[in-house]
Amino acid sequence: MNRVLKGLLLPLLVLAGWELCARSGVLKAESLSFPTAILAAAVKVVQDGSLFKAALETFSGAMVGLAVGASVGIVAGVAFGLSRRLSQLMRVTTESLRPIPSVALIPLALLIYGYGVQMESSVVAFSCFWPLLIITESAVRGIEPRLIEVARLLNFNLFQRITKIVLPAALPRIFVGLRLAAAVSLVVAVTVEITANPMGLGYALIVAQESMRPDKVFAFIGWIGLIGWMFNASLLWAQRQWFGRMGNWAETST
Amino acid sequence: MNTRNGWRVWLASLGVLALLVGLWQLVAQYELVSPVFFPAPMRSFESLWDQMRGAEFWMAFQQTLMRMALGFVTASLAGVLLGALIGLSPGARAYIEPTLELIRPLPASAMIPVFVLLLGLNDRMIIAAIAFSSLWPVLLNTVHGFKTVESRLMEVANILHLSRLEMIWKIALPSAMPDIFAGLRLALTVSLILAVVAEMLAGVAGLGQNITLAARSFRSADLYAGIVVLGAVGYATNLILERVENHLLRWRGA
Amino acid sequence: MTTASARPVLSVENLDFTVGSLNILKNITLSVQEREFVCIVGASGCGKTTLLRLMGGLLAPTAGRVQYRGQMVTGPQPELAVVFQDYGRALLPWRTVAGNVELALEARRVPKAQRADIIHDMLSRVGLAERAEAYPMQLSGGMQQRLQIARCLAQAPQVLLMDEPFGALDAMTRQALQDEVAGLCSQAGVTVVFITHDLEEAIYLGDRVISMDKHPGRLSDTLDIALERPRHQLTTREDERFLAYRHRLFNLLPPGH
Repeated sequence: MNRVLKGLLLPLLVLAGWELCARSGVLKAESLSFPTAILAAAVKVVQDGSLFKAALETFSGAMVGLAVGASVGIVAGVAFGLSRRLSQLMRVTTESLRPIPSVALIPLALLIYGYGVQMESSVVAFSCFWPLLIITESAVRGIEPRLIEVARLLNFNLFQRITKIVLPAALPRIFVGLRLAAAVSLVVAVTVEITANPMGLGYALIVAQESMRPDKVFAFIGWIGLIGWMFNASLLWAQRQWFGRMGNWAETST
Repeated sequence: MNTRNGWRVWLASLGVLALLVGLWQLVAQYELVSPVFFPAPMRSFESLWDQMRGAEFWMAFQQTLMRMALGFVTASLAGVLLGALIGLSPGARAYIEPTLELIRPLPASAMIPVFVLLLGLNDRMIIAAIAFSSLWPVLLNTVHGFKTVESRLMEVANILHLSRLEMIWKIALPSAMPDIFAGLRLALTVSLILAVVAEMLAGVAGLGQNITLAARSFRSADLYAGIVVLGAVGYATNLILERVENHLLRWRGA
Repeated sequence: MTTASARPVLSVENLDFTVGSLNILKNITLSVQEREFVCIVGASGCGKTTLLRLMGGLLAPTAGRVQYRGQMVTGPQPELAVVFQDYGRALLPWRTVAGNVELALEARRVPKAQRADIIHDMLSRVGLAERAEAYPMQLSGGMQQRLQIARCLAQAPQVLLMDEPFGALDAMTRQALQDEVAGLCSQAGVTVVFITHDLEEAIYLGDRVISMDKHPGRLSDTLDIALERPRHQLTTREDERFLAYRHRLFNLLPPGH
């Protein structure tokens, strides 16, 4: 219990100090607001449904992008993992595209799709593609060679080999990649909304800022953090549930 | 794979990229896709070439890079210093680490509206936002690096009666370097992203502003050129950091 | 039993060490004379490593005391050098072989101009002079342990506390290092406390072998080793007296240790 108390001391002190400074006028409440007001705003956005609406919009953009980006990433990762030749030939191309920051694609997506979910999910897809490509390729490469031999012995064709051996064997690590990509998808979605797309939590942030409502700004930031944390925690829980007992069964001891 | 073979594979890979670009060029030339969205690569290269011959481009380039540099360097110095202090003190860690973990999942760009409220839409806001967001990866990783110094080495330091400063400089800091650099690499990526996003929001001169304006005026060749430039900035800065890291940590490859 | 004529270099009096409700060491009393090579043997888990760490000041006793040249040992000090069993973790991976030895010289505030010679001397003694610019990770286990020993000798210690230093090495390397250490220590004139679970190693190396029981750790017997030096891997180990000592110790220690 002592540990929990110690951990809480600093945030509580900061919050208390903030509250005092704002109320006493030392801090400009118009720019920074204060904890009790922020809490009130946080509750209000739940009550008036704006949080739910915004979160839904962000999630739709993020999840569609994740689905597209991750699937393409996994397919490419499997291909690169199975064929070293292919991976090497594509090396320069992938290494040229990878350094492009996803935010740089926002104006392009805007140009092609205009405002809306498509624009957002396309940028998210680009961001989610890379981690899955890299992790899947590495996972496929790291599959216990014994299993590949078994597949050969059983005379599996390529499709069977992939679906019955490669994918299941690489699955635990691919799932870790998915978890990472999921976190990325939320962050990128919010970023796209902050920058350009008038929907979702990021846009709610901008609206709050433009209407000079710092209490709402911090409230939404808090909610974004909490939602992100809950999302990651549930994915971690899912991972433990599905893969916990089985361990990394298919990997060679490296 | 010997180096001569490596060269050939790399060339082949470059050839694949050239092939793809060539294909795109043909597709664009025969207008199989809308030239507004997918301009011919030649036009983008021309645009890039033209831009680079003009002073405006380099002004924007310099602006963006300067903001990135200021934010990144400030954040790195502060992050390493604070991280060392926190990481070396189990007492401090008990109070501070939980708070750090709370901040970790927040999307960096979400804090930008706060900075806009505080500082307005200008250079100062951008640099402050970059510095703030780049701080966390460096801080968190540095704390981890100093926290996990091999206990055996600390015992050796005690036996040798090394002063606290000596212990930090000769044992803790070198030991934490790999973690510190991991944090720096993350911070570098974050600072580029934040620079672009903040520029887009603030509407100040810079590479981010360039591509936003290009998209708005449907100058797709300029837009693609701008994306390439941003990718190149990401690539180059990362390369420099990597080189520094490999030099300082050359004992790792031994 | 040797009579303690001169003041012992290191002495332990009525030492107890308890963690929580677990009594790890009970009533340990022993003293080590100048230039003596004392080996402590015991089954795994009898607390030998704990005893060594207490002697080195890395742990504080629950009761009793450790004294170095008459002064209470309240913390670690360079005069009591410790050679750890997990040598890999006790070396600085970011410094070269020479750099690792230099660390001890930096601690002793040896002027820079003099360091190179001392480092070369130390490395030659352990046979690593050729690898001075290599990094620890490039060395084999035996070489890494030698490096640690070289660094410890560079501390100009009075006492060398060695915690099963050859436990993680293969048999051949172990034998080579046994002879090297015996030679190095007599050459350097240091007092040695050497922990091992290997009976034969203890007899081979020691002037005196002390055996420990476990649960809780306490001293059970002391054997003076009257074998001549320098010792020889083949002949000494076949000596009648060696075998007698071996029998004696074997019966003292619990079966299957």
